[in-house]
Amino acid sequence: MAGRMLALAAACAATLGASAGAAHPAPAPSDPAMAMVNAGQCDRGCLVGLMDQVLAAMAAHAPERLPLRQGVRYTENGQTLRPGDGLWGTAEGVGERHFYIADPRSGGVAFIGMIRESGREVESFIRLKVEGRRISQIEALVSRPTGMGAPAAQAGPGFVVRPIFTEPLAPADRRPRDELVAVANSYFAGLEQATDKVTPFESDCGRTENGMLTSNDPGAPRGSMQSLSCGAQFRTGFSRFITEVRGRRFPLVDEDRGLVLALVSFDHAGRLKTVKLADGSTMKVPPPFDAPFSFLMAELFKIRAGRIARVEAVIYTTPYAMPSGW
Amino acid sequence: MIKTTCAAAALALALLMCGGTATAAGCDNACLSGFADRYMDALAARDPSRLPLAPGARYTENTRSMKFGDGLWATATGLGPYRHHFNDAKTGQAGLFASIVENGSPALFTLRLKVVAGRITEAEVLVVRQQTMGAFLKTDATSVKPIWDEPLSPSERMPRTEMIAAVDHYFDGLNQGNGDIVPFDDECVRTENGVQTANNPKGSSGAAMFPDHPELKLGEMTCREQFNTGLVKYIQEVDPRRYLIVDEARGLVFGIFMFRHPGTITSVDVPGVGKVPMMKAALYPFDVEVAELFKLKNRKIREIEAEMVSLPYRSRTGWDGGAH
Repeated sequence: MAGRMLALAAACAATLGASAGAAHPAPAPSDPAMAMVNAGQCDRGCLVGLMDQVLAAMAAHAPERLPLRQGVRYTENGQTLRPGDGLWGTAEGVGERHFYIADPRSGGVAFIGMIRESGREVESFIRLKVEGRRISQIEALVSRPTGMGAPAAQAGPGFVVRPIFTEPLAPADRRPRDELVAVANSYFAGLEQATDKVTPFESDCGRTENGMLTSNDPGAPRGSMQSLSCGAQFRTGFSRFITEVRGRRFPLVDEDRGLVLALVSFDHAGRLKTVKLADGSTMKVPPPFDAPFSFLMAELFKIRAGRIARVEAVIYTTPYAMPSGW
Repeated sequence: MIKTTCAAAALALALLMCGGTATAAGCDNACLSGFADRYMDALAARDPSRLPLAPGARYTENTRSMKFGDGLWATATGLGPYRHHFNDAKTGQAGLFASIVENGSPALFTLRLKVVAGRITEAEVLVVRQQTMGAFLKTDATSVKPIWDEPLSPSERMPRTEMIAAVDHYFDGLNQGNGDIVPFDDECVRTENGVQTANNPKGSSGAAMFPDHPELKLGEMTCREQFNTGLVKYIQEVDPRRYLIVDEARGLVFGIFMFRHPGTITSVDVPGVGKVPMMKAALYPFDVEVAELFKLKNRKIREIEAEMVSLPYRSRTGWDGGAH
């Protein structure tokens, strides 16, 4: 029962949104934050190589080995740390299950997968920004339990690498960078508006969060929220208890593979006890969504021919309204 | 002087509260408790407009800045029976540990108010919820231990700076795993999130934390014995240490302290036991913000009450620019 509740809660969390979509337009391609600072300097292999160097340096507790730019910023679970602190003191290596997202045009690269820390594996996300072959930003999310007796974040079958995130698209299914970002942003708009009408989904879109299937789960009871596809979940309108999708960033795009990486915070004010669903029924808001707290999330979208085919998220639970550090 | 201060308060109730014994800071112990009680009434009504807030008054909840009306203000559904006041008339600060109900679930609550000229300028809150603290939370206390309100004899009293210095040794002792540098009373009792965690005959066996060493009955040990095991060294830093409320007459020191756990101490040589692997929950980076009240009696730490929330590692307090 508890596991079922957790899965439902996570499914709810995945869906989110309930404020004005116009407040969160997708960044325009000319946005300085999306500036293409890396043209020609560090290709995909170079970026992935730098990520591997970072992971190795973490396990060796040796940030001094890295080509870091002056003033490099490191955040871990939304807090600013010096390189060497936090995960740099506890990491022991990389687990077998992981993959990379690279964006040579913006100089960005990300890792999603398992990191060994203090004798166990924990699903993690790491993003680098590379300028002139030197690292200027490192952002880590480590989905550890939040401590002191709180339930662990991990549950269910656990994280697996899905080939869909590494396979290139057929040329006809590719879309320009700005269109991909707009589609990813429409996911959040759809959640805000509690509708499936503004977000283009493939009919069997599924979602995984911290290794847990929270949409289109074939093992879930028929008719349950987590058994539904992404679009069918949106159609129920159950996401209104997520009061804001805050601080959206879209730092990495891979047009060849149809990938957009978003970093966002979901605020749950905890005010709603029930949500009226689109079919007229009433859903009780499950704990922990009935008290204030937030999620800091790295959310990866696979977009095929302009439609969201799959979503993969790494989530860290934070105090309510905590900023991302960026 | 005080009448002028109180008259500056716009709200009638603030005037009434200032009508008690006045001090140079404008609000004596009873007056400050009145502000905290009024805060609780406003919280239960989910109506911050009932408070005499100064322009620009700041509110933080579990370290995050938010507007009065957000966070717990929108989810509190009731007050519990427990309410433990402690105040500092010299600095105009009220402190409170209380039990509350949030959307039907019991929780613990810490409040610090700063009162200036009859108005609240700062409200700092910790909400200790089951969703983040799990089993390390007990909300059934109904009455405050009498020792907290007992005045010290004049010969026992210490200057404010010496009281803070004595308590500061507590945190050094944690970091160093050394109880001998802390002025502990042998009868020292600590209660954390409603759970008595020292000198408790019914305390934890230790088996849950240290499966290979059930003989490490930490909960039954005295405060000093616990420190001297060295196992507390996983609390590698306590920084910042914000001392906020001192009551010389009762021997009270209260502060809000950030416990930093880098997760890098993997074992401890416990005297008389040998090498003990660190408990698993302390093997990764995390912080705990601790609101902690100390009673000094005969210049020694006799009683400790704390409420705490776990936070992301290297969290800021929300008051890094100055607490008061």
